[in-house]
Amino acid sequence: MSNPSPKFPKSNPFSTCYTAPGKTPYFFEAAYMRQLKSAHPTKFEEYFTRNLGLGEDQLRHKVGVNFLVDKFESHSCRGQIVGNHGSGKTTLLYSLRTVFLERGYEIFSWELHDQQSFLPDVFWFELQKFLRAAPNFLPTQCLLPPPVVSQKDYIEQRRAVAREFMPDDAEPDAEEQEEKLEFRVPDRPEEASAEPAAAEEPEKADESERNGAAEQDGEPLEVEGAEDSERPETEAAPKIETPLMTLLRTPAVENFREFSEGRKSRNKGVLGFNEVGNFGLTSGNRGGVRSDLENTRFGEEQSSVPFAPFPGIAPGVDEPAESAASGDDEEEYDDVRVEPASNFPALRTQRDRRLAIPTLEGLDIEKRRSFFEKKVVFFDGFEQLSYVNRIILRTFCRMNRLGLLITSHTPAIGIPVLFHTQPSFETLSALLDRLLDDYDVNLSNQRVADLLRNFHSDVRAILFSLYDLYEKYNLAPAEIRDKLSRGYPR
Amino acid sequence: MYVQKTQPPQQSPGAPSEQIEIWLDGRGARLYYPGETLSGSFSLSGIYSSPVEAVEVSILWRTEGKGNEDVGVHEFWRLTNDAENRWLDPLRPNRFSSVLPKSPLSYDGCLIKLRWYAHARAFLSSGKQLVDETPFRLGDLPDMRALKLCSDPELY
Repeated sequence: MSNPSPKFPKSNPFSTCYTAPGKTPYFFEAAYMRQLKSAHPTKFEEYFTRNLGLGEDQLRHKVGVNFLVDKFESHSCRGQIVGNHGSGKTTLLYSLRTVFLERGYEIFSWELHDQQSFLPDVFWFELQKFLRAAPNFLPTQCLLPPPVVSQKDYIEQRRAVAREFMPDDAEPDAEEQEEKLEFRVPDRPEEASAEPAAAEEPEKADESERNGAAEQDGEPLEVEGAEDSERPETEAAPKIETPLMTLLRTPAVENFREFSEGRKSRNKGVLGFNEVGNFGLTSGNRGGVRSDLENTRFGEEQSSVPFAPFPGIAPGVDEPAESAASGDDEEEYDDVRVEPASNFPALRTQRDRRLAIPTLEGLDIEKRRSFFEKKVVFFDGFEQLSYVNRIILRTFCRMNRLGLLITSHTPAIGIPVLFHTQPSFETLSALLDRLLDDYDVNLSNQRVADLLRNFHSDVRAILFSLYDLYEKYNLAPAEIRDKLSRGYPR
Repeated sequence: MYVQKTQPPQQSPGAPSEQIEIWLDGRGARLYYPGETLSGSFSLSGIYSSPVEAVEVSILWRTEGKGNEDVGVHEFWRLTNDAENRWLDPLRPNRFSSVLPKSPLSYDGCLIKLRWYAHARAFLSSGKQLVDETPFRLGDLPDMRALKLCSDPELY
């Protein structure tokens, strides 16, 4: 059997396999640790005793990193690491990763390439995969367009959710179910429990009776609830009516005006999105999306691309009885009338047809809550993103209750700064001591200080230059070695 | 011994040292040529508290240098307790052998180095992993750095 040979070449201690982020720990300064100890003595002692078996450098690293994660959690899981080129931002990010994993977090990390100023499609694709890997994920809470679900399926899904949450009671309508969902996720549990449950009982009974009657008529349940809940406040407020307004609203005047303007036989235009995401009018005279009315008038089949008020909302298969009955008069108009916002066609349709939320079996609000609280997005190179992309990423993480930890050259607005990375003589010496532990190469303190000054505290550039120096030094004769060690850095 | 930047295992004082060792047969210089059969053995020692769940042995090459690393696996064996896999007694030396490929050859350059390794990893039931690897050379390419510096001493 062969024994280890002394002729076998050593690796370069400054190779990326030893110096890359994740291969070496981040070295905190002693002054920073003293600040931590004076500010949080109890917690410092706890972390110190927990990691007593480690060496001095590792112990300092563990305590510092744990404090940073505490700070991150105290800032509602948002934070940024700020520093210049080669100051150790990514190394610190990798060091934080281990502590995050120990605390039960799931991490989605992304690193932008140089000169990349936008979030690529593959980023959203991978993030969607990451989020959907967990149970009870509701995709509609993303900015990603939700799947198109018909009104009928949507009602069935809401009923299934209601059955799951209230299996023994009478089936509530969708509005009640929505209140129930909100009730399950209170910010302070004592507030939710303080509500008297007895007061809801007679209301539930009345609601269930009304729902039963509505179901017999074939009317969707939540349409009534939706209209009741979202009825504009202007209707409830008392209006001052002039005699002229009263006269203009009489049927005779209305009919006369319609016939005189020649709008009686024309179609109504409705603004909104179709299935492919285009925005426009549905009437055939305006081009673009052809209306169902026009198709049926000329004996063609109904349009296979249904109209939806917003992306993700399918047109109602079962139209509400009210709108079907009252739609005869309204469909005779071609122009979009200038009305209050509450009567705007798109908004009205949005009110009737809600955003489709796919139902997943085994939905557990508490599980889902904890799931989103334990997800963190690590984003390296935030400063390269454009302004709009920064806002999109920040908003996305906030909407989905995802933690966000970024690295940046300058502090980004709206994200608390966790740590400023600034290489010093102390940290660089500690790093070099670790790398050159098994080698017969020594760098004097003056040499380390010169390196910091000449390379403007860019540790990455320092390590690259030392790599080149070692390659020459390793093969050079003894007399040239002295010359090399004296002449570097240049 | 070849320099490794792996962390030493954390052990309580007095506990037997658990380790895995891998050895290569043949010449002391550990120089092999393409098409030659590389053989060796691995053994586990000091394992008393937790049984071994699996042992992985691989012959691989790895690059190192200034840029990104690259890895290629030439041979891989995994020995477990499953009925489908063959199982050898971990407490006795076990042998392995493989015919080496024609490329890539070992290379020592300034910017990049390519090294071949025989790598062994043991998975204990306690979750602990034991790792050992022994480097060897495939082919006899000269050291490019020495050639370059000898031809042009002004580079110093």
